[in-house]
Amino acid sequence: MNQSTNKYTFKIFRYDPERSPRARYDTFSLEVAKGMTVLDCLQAIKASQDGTLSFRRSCRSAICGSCAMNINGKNDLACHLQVSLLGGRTVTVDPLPGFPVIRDLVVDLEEFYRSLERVLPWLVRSSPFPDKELPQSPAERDRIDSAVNCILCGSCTSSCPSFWFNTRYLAPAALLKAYRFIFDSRDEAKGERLELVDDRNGLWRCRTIYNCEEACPKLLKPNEAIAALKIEALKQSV
Amino acid sequence: MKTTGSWWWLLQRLSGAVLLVLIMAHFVVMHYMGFEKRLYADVLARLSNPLWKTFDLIFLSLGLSHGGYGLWGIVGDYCRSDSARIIALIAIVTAGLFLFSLGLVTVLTFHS
Amino acid sequence: MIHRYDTVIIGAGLAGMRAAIEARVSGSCCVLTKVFPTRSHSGAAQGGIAASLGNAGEDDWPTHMFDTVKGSDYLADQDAVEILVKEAPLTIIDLEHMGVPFSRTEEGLIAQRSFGGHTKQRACYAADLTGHVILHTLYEQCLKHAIKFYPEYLVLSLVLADGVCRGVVAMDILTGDIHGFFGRAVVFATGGYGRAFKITSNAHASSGDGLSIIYRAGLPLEDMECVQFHPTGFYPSGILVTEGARGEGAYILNDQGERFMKRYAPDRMELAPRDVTARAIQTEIDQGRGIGGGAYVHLDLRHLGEEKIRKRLPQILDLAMRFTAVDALKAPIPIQPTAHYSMGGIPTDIRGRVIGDAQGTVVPGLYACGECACVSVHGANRLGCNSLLEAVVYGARAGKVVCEDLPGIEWSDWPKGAVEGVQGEVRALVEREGNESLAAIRDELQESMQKNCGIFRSRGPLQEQLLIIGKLQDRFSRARLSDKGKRCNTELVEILELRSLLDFTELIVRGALAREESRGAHYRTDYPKRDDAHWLKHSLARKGPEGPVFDYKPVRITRYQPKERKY
Repeated sequence: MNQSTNKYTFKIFRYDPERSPRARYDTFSLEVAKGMTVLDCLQAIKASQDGTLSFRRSCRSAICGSCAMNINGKNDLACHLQVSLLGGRTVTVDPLPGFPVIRDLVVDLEEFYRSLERVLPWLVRSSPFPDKELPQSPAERDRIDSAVNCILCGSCTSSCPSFWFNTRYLAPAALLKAYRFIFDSRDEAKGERLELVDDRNGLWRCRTIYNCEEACPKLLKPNEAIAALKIEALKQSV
Repeated sequence: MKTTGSWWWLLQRLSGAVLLVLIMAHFVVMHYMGFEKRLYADVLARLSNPLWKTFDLIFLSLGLSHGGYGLWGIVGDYCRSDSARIIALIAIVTAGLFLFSLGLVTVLTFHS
Repeated sequence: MIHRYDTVIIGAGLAGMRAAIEARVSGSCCVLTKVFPTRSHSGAAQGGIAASLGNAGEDDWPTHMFDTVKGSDYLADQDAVEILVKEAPLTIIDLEHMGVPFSRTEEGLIAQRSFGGHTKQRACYAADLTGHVILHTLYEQCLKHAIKFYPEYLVLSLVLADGVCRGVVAMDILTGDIHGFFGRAVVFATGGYGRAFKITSNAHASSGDGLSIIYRAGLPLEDMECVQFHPTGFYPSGILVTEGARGEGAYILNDQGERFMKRYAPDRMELAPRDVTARAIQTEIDQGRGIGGGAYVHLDLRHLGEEKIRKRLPQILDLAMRFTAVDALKAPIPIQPTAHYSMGGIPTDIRGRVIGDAQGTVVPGLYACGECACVSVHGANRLGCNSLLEAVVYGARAGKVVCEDLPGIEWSDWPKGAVEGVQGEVRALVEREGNESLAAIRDELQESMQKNCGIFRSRGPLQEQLLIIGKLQDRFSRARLSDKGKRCNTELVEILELRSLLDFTELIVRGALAREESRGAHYRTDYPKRDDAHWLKHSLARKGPEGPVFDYKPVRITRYQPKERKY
């Protein structure tokens, strides 16, 4: 394997209220080998330079959504972003914007998780279940494909200016979850769920800014889901 | 709080689309059709024309409702407390009604 | 602070959440989890979940059972396997009714694909995100049933008094506070331990904490030497490439472009079980037929066509680009075997109750399910798609058994000082002075485990590995933390995880050294044959005054007598 190495500067947001009420940036210099991701670098810094650096990580294969953070101004998963593809020799790492910071790159996602609970996020059926699977055609399944692939990393909601103004706004992730059930052919609570998102802090707070689409590390399009929900809400009120 | 958001949303889109056309027309008429040579009489004639009166009335009402709802949206983004929202709503509606009556008086009573 | 719940579940992966959905019925129930539920490593399972639904050609549970038993190299307990495969179809239907968005056939049924070691098309899937969609659906069901989660709580010790389980002590990672969880029933669903190895498909969180806690409490662990290496991990990271890729028809090629599996498993080719395939790949690499002589071979998807790849393997396409810079539509993916699954774990009976000795004595109030448990349905080698199935089937069973047992379990006393003891232990760890680096010890452990206790094992390297672990355990006692804080001290979490790794890697190595035969994923180059006369038995390792003590218990054989295993 090509072992050409390069020195990079990492400028990392630091905040630990136990030690100081003030946030700061620390700079670390690191030799980055080919193929190293931002997460690899954070781990290397934690292992050899500063053990107090805090961040979340788990699967390191872009499916658990733990390591969402703001890297060079863009929300993304640290684990699937190769440093060499970033351009420039300085990598600035911040916590996800819009959420309270607990420590360093770890943010408080409590409200984010609560927002999901506001859209009745489970399959609802009142008709009896058959002995076998509920039938669903491949086309019907395709309709919700991107929504079921959401990993709840919070990147979209964190990038949404409407959410920054008003943290009560459901925001893209919860609306995508609503879409996932409203457009699931097996679900029977479409109307109820549409009423839940047709709320002062719901659907209509979306200003079609499209930051969510740009921020999604899984290349999903919450903005399109929200647009579909708006049309659906309109159809329901006709 | 339950909203009838979808109707307002639709209205905002429709009024936006219509306003786009009206603004273009307004812009062309006012700035590119011999504006520098225009006399008081020309303006008077146009404002006496029932077609132009209709144009202006639609323009007025759509512009105010579109702008007012837009402001209300911004209030919704930033204002958390219900009392502040109610005050803002009253202010927007009052200002809207005031401007609408002013416009109405101008358009309807302006004749030679 | 002491919390009281009738049932305390540890781990919020498929097994833990499925257990919670059952256990909530008969009393209060909470789930402690080290990472937020949807971040559990069950979500990284890609290929599918097995059940003889017969949606893609005829299938039945005896065939599924035979495939599983043969796959296990006859070390699986057949009564447990029978339950697994019999309950599989209804379990899948149940998941579907909960809302799991499985991929569909043209007729609108759950789609099924081929998988290694399964002779029928029985892997139910949702593209290559099967674990992810089931995990999220179970989380949604938990929300529906208002199950109480304690996310980002790291369980540190088991509270046992007079041989009865009373609960656990856990640390709230975000605040650093230590809490006691007093329960009448405690269910372990803490997952696996792939992090013992350098090249692994597992999450950073998969550090086998639950196993280590059980071991430190003086209870035995079963078949720890049986570690599965998945044939296809990305090179060099080890991140998983689903077996579903081969299920869809992908080829494995060596440097000469040869589909070398024909020399190792002529009938099943790329769809041989994982132990066979992983050994074949490692042999090719070791004999210099890796690509360019390197430590990897190729997985070729190209002939499947763009549409099929995009539809059935979208995640692989994305991951290949991001982690190997290869466009899988245009070039083969570099792959290598990667540590993947722990067949061994906390011994339980078929009702999910933890057993404390070779005679099968139940530890009252303690249950285990999922990867951390060893029922054992996987024996010495698990078939792909059987792990998600086990997590859901045995997770639900454990939850139901808890409901049955709870009326018979009295609230007893919370032992005094249980929380304080752990608090002191943690404080000592944080304040400890020393000159050893936690990361260096961890790296050395993972690298040496990979080298000496990997796919091919033999006496010399295993003995060397024991010495290495001993030295590392000694160095660990001098490892120093630079983070002395309480709030979100992730370095503290890492050192606690390392303590777990150092505990149970010793059991893996000692177990592997003792088992002088080759069975399933456990392969000894110095004992290349299976030895049913001596080793058709499960190993049990427990903590003794001077290190681990081994005991053995028989394999339960009901339907299929052991015979030669060929693919």
